[in-house]
Amino acid sequence: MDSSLYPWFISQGVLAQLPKKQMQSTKFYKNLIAAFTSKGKLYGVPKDNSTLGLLINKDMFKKVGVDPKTIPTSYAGLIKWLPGFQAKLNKAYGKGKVTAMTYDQDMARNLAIMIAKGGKPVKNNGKANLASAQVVKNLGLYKKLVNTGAVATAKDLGSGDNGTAFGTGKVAMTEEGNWTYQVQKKQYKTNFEVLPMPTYQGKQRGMIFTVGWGENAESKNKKLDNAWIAYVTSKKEMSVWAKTVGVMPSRPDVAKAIKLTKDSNLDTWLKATNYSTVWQEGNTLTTINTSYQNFISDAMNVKMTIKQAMIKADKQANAAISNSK
Amino acid sequence: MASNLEYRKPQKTGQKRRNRETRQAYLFLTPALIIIIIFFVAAIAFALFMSFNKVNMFSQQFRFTGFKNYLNAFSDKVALKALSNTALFSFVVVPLQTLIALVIAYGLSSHAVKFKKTFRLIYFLPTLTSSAALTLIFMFIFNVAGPLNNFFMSIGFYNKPINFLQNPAYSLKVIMVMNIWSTVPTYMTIYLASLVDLPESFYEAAEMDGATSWDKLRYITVPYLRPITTYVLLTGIIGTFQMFDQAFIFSNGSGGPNNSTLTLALMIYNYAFGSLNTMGYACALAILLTIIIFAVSRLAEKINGGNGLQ
Repeated sequence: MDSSLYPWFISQGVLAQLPKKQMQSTKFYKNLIAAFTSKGKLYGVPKDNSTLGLLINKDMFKKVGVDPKTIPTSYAGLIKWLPGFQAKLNKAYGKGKVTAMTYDQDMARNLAIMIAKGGKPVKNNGKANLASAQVVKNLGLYKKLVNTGAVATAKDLGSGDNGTAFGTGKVAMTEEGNWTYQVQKKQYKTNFEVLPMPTYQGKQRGMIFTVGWGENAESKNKKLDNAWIAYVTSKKEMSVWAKTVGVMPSRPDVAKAIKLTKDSNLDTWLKATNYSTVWQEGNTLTTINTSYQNFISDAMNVKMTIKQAMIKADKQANAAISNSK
Repeated sequence: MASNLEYRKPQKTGQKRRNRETRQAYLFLTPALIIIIIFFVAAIAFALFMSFNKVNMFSQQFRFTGFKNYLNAFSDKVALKALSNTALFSFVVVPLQTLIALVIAYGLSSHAVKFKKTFRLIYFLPTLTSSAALTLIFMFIFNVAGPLNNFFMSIGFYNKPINFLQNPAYSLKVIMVMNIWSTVPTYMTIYLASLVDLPESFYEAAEMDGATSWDKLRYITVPYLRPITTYVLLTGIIGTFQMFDQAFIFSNGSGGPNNSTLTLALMIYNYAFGSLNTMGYACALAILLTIIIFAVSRLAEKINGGNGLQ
């Protein structure tokens, strides 16, 4: 089960409690285990995980003569630095050919920023709260990025997603997950490097996507179920899984055992597990995110303030949530 | 008496043969009938049942709520917006796709046109493209820094690029263009297939009377194709009212920006397969959509002067 759907499964009461000790829950990244824990009880074991990093196209930086080491490590720094970098890209590739950086209009990517400094996009009762002051203030970051004229969505650039835009050379930097690693290397043969996520309000922030093993509450053979989950998430078996499929393990000891930490790019993504936010926020998140995506582009591109757009988004999401009552 | 007997005999065998043929006919119909009963009739009946309930698909719980879902739908402003988007989409796309398909088919059926097969192949290509790929191609063409903006700016049409994809004023129109472009070839082929059967002598007779090509189109081709036009209109209306995939890919399922690409089908999908227990509401919307499509289709059929079957 996906971390974002876990609260819904819990609300339906369909998950069986899992024995923490047998599952070796202390061996996993803390925030991943926490994502499947409710009121101190464990209901899921993370299978693997994905995080975000800032991918940069090394060839492009070389061509425009910018040392990747000079890239600011904070969003505030990037906002000042991006226009100059975009000008250099325009000179080297022609205007409108290569955009400096992408951003996303999706809560699955923006949540870490939205919750900064106590931002609360979803109320405790599950209602949408996107127009609240701190969330609107945090979202202002994206508007500032867009206003540099050097930042666009992958869609703006005519690509389906960030990885495609990056791989096809439409953008020099993109925030993307480790799932794009092999694609960039093998399919697009991009010469790239992964940097940690930029800081916002003094802290690095990114998203974690994880999927966990769960057990049906009405299962007739819980002993066998438990044994299976413990087996596939053990150090030995997860090593096989992570190595074969090329995913990031949910246990630090496995990451070490299969030497992921030796690859500096993968290590950057791995380290992001420590500072990132798990994609999860109550059981109305899908509805709120749909409404958010519906209205956020108006705030970014048309003459509407973020506040106005988010009031509309709240209204529509909450109407849908009321409909389900 | 004798003649009577003689007469009876073949009638009996004829009856037998008819019975056998009837049995055979039903036998041939059975496989399709079974599939239709399970996947259409039963599914529709179940949807109808669910539309009167609050449904939790996960725990298979149904709670009868009467007309609550329907009443909610009538007071739902978002549903109204989705309906107006869908209706606008249909009323723009259907006449245009029919007209363009007819004109292209008429052109291609003319004897004066050389390399007809090549033209047909080129015109048919959009239909072979999957709608997912098509949507991405159009999103590339229409994006802020895309070829269309560059072209219009290079000829001095306007100076600042238009954000076709994210400006609510344009986004649905982009999908309209895309839909027309991808459906015209199918309908053109249908028209063309019928035009092949149109006797050349009609045109020749008209030419002797001094008819121009416009006259021929207006007074021979269009009336001749009326039954086909009914078919094209009906499938067009049904197709446009059910439009989902292009809007879904375009807006990442949100129906945005600002509800401008929210169609009824997309809204039904969001309610049916979100993480809220709103399958019942989705079913109510789907039933309403069915009624709307039925009514609009009947209306179009009447306006076009029947389905040509009578």
